[in-house]
Amino acid sequence: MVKFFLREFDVSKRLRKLVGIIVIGGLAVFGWQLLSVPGAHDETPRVSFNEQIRPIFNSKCVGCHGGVTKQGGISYIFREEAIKRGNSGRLNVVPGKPGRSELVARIKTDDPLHGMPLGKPKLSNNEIATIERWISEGANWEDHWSFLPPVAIDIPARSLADWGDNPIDRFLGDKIAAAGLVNSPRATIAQQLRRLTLDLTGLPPTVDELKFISDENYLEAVDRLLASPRFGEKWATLWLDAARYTDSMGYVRDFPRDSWPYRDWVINAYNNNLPYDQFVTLQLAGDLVEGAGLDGLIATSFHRQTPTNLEGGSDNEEYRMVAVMDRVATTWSVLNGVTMACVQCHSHPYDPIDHSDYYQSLSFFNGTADYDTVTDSPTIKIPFESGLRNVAYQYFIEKKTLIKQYLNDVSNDTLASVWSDVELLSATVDRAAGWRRRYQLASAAVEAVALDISDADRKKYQRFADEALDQVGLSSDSVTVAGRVSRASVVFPDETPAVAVYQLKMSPVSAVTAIRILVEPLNRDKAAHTPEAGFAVEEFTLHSFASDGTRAEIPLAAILVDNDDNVEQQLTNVFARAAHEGDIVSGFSAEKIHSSRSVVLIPATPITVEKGGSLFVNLTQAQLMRPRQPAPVLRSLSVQTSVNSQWQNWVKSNKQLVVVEQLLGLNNQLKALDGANLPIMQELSAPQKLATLLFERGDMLAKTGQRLVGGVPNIFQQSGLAAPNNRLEFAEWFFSDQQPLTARVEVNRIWQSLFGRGLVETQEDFGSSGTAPSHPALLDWLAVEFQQRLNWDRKALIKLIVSSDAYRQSSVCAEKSRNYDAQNLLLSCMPRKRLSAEMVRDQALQASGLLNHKLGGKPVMPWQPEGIWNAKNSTGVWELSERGDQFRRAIYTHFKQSAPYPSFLIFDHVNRDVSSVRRLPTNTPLQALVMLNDPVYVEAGSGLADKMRASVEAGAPLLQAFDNAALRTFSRRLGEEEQASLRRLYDGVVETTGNSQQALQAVAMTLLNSDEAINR
Amino acid sequence: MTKADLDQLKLERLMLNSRRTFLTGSSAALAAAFFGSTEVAAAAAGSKKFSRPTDQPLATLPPQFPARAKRVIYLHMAGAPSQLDLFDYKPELAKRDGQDTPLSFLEGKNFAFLTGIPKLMGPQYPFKQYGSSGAWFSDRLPHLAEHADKICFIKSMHTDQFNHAPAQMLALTGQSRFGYPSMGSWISYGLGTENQNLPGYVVMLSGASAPRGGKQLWGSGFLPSVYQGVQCRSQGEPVLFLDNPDNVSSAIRRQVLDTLNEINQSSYREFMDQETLTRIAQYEMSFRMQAEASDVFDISQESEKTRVAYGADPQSESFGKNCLIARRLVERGVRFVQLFDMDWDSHGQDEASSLKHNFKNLCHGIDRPIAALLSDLEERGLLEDTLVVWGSEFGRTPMKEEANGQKTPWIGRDHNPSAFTVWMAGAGVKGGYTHGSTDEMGYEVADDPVSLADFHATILYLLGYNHHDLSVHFQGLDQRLTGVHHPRIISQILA
Repeated sequence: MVKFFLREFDVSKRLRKLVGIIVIGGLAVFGWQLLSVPGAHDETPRVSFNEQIRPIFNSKCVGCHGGVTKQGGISYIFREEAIKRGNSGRLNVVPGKPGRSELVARIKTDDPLHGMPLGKPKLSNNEIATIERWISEGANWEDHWSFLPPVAIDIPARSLADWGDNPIDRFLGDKIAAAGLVNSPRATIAQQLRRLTLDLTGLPPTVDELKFISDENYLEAVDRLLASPRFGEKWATLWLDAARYTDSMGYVRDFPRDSWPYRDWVINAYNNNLPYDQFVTLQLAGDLVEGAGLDGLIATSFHRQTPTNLEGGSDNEEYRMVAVMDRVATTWSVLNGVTMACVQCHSHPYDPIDHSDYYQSLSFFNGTADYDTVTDSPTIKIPFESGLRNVAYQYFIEKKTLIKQYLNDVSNDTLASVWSDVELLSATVDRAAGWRRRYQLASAAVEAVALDISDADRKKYQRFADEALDQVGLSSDSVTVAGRVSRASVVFPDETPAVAVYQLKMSPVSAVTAIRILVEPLNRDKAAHTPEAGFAVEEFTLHSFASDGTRAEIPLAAILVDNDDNVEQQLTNVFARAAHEGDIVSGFSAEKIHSSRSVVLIPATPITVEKGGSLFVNLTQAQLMRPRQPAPVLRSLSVQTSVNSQWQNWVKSNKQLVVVEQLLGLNNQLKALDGANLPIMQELSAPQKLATLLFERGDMLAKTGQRLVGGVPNIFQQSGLAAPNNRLEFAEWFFSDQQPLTARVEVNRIWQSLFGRGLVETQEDFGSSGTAPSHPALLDWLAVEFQQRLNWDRKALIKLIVSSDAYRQSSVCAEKSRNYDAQNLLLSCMPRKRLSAEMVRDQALQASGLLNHKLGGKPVMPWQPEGIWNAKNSTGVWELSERGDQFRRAIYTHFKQSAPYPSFLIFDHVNRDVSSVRRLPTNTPLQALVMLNDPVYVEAGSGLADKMRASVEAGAPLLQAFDNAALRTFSRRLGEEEQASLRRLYDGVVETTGNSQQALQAVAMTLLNSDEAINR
Repeated sequence: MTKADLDQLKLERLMLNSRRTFLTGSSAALAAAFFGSTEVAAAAAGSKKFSRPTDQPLATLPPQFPARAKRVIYLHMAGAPSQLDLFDYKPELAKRDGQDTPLSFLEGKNFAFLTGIPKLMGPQYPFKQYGSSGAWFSDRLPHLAEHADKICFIKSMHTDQFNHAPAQMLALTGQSRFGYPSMGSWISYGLGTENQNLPGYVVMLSGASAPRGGKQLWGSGFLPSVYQGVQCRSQGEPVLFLDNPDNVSSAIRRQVLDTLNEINQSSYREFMDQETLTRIAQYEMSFRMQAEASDVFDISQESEKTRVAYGADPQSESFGKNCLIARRLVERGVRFVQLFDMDWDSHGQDEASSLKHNFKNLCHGIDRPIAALLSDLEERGLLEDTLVVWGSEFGRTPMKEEANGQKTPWIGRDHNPSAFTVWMAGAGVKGGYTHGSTDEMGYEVADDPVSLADFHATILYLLGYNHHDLSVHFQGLDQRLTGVHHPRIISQILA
């Protein structure tokens, strides 16, 4: 700590001398490196690793000696790997002895074969000398600044005469003064209010608000705007970029997805000032937070915003894994500015993060129930009517409780039963029988009027039946395949047909009360982490043959599927349908298997097979369930029997039917509620989870090594942080006292929103390849303030920043500032910012009086050009919103992942296919076309023209009407020249068209398109 | 002869062949291309990584090295046409038509739809050799076949994705995941565009659906959005928001822009913000774009003869019309034109996806247009420096697809990521040449495998870039179109 403090202190002292040199020398086009300019540290006794050595290593060495490749056995990411003996056999770095260090020999030699960097220009003499000095001083290593916890540094003394004592002004002023610059004067109060209102609410101030604002009541305006519901609508947008929020499922089909309750949750969380730690914890693990209730579940939709791939033939496990990987990368990048995506394939090229660290993080997310399915399950019903939300939530909870209770009962009552293996006499598969049964089952489904099936399903079953009939007629299809039997187990060969009836023959000696069939993975070890193809059994039947050849059918009283993810399906479907004719699903199926799955068949009375007789268990695999490619095929089975009579008792108890009735009742009640089905996170129980292993070079089919448990990268454990064990602890871990990055990254996000550029420019990357902070001391002070004193209160932090003199200064930059600090890194004037895609539109609607302030709800579809959601795109229709819904704020516009609202994209809205924490503004002719021709802006123009006409009709002079329109648009009155320009335009259009409304429209369009309107 | 000697000889020959184009400063680039080693390349070239001044996002920049190709027309057949029924002639497969697929073909393979043990299926159309090069074409592309000697085939392409969306992303962005810039974006970023009154990167679609990979196929990923492809339509407004509102004449628009300029000038005088000047220029450009874009998409300006040759009807959307517009665009200096033709996913599940049915219409729909495009470009001298690329996301299997073992009149093949065919013509590539081959069943690459990274690196090379240097630092990595791969330039196909 002490050391860190000194280092920081030194930095700011040195910087005073440095700034002049750097800015005169011209700044790099991309980013800036105030802290990493080496070679100007003559008076400093000790070499600083982070400031002088790491930049050399990163730019000259780690390409070959880094996290990805360790040529010659040497890497410059960790100290141990830098000082060790390389493949040459010589010690690379001998602390204290540069003369004996191979590194020094290699960078000094002129020998092209051994000299380093290989095949590239030699290091400069200065760089070589610095490295030598560093080694002779002991070759001390330092962690990259961002991995060390922030420390509150003494606030510098006041350096600028007219700035006050807000610590932000003291820190910024210190550097401005040191560079020999001065701050800009305070902006006009109208400019301040425009800036503040746009930054806090995304809308310009109203004419009344402009009238009443003064220097004295500025802080009251801050409070008023922070309390406005518009605040949440503005601040949510940036978070929704990070959350990759869209209203559709993505990929090929891109069906609509009911994501909007999550969007409203984010807006409300900002409006209610939910502290940042709770805000994040609920989104990562709200399903695991005790007492978090419905809001906690809605928040978890954050990580369900990943796309779902419904393309035919796509592997659900593969795309589930793609989503899980996205969750890892997004979590680290959004919360900590750590670029984890590259660690998916290999250790981090620049930062001390190991390849296995990635998979340890992945392990926290690798146990949720979502499975890239068409229903996006698990989901929760959110009724449109907010009064019913808790009712629906209660149903959801009751269902969960009921199922849990049922599973408990089943295992207590019955599953304690002892099973014994039964010898299989033969096991065969009959293809022709399969097709016959498929025909019968499908026909029965078509006929079954009692079944609640849709017309589409009925058609589907009709087609299944027709196809099956064709197949039944083809004698060549009558194939019987024998399985390889070993006692109670059987493995069927590769060529096992997809449509088939399996016949398992046995001859049990005692009375059988239940039969258990286990489906095993073919390769148990591998399946534990890489699941195998699943299976689907539509029907089970039993029959027996007496020794004289008499056949008898044995009725089944119940089927008990193991306590898996589809318990609800088997309970509601199987038993509800069993009550009617045309029952076509047994409920025994699995998308994939990673461990054995079982089903228990319970006969109405115990089965006794006389000597010489035999018992047959028949499994029909008719491929009638949701068609999957490749068709699921049962391959490995074993059979066990029980003689315990409690099975029959359990059946008689009717417990199962009671549960079914209750579940059906709850489902019907939920169905009756009109609302959204929001995808949420639900943790699987331990046995259902897949093992997590490291993927060799990021390939999910090449997993290697030991089973990994959840953990965080080693680099963080050095801060003495306790390691988390599950997703909730992982979420909470980000907010532990010594966590170095969470507070810095969020402070930077807020700073970026207000000043247009973060103190660290690369919001997405705080690692050693991101840009260094322009004001490290200020960043740390703010981080400590936010975390410790403000307790993650974001409104308080925003208030602190917007109250500063720095924020309130003018955007007119002094010539000296422009010349010496062209990028305005020192903030000696307030940066101008172009309005975001949302703000440009919302401002135009507000200025014209068209904006509809309704909060939340289903996304809307304002006008967009024909063919964006074209006929070519099969999913969804753009139904033009009406009755003011077309004028809702931009955040409510329907966002289809494959076809985002086009005018937003032109104004640099991000695609949201992956998480993004920064939008890069562009300035293009297409933006001009949007603002001049998009009907939304044309309507806004007529709205504004109407306002002017109304003023004129109320007796105001024309120029005053213009002035009012300017106030509405860019928050100030017009200058004389501007008035004259607009007057000429008005007269010109009147002259050409004879139409004063059109002339007013032209004036309105000019105002809306003006540079001052598009900026703040 | 040692390998080093051989390499040296090959290098010399390569340099000799290319002397006409590379008069100065080229040996390093060639060496890089030849050795395919990025380290050697960067060191030898002594070149700096590319960087573009941020205030000139689309200004024309010279390529890193003198280049043959100045612009690209990229024809992507979405869905994956069967190379076995168009270009990759397999007489042995014809002989074994109807036989069971050897088990060795199926082991360890993932298929999108094939199940059980499928049957082999021979070419569905007769093949013939064309031109002095003797290139094989099936009878489905008779007009294109007349250009056999202009075309350079690569029959040994392979990919590692077997679903459309990720495979299309891999083919067009270099990554199978979301969030990466498309090839056209990288090229616009590197070279800018020659006509500032038109988008530098234009995308057009034809067919009944939209590509599964969606807009990210022409997206700009982490590059600024100004580099994303602008999807233009051949019916209605060609560029979104191009037309003035109904009651706004061009004269009124001019007056508005003049006034806007005056007002923006006064903003500039106050804030001295360079962005304001850029904005003034962009508003002016939008005005010129309105005229020029409407003009370039107006194919009624073409002769009847030309329109017929392309099969382009001014009144309806078609691939032919898009090809004609593509020529008009490159003629005016647009850098990258990307046409998608849809519905080539011949699974044989219905008439639309049957190789014996709709496939014929699809072939017919591209045959004359591409032939006309090649002739037209040649006649206008544009083929010299325009690269035409025809390709897809993967190929199709030599096995017949029968969903769930059902018998239908429709005939199809499943996705085959292991081998597919692409071709190039024009600037800098060898006409009448075939690179690489597949095994006798057309199932796997037999000789000279070409990965998508190799293919991308070669296209960048033809445009004057070492793929390694055209990079942007993002998420902790120097990101490139070729990702972290070490591709080889396909030097054999260079003219």
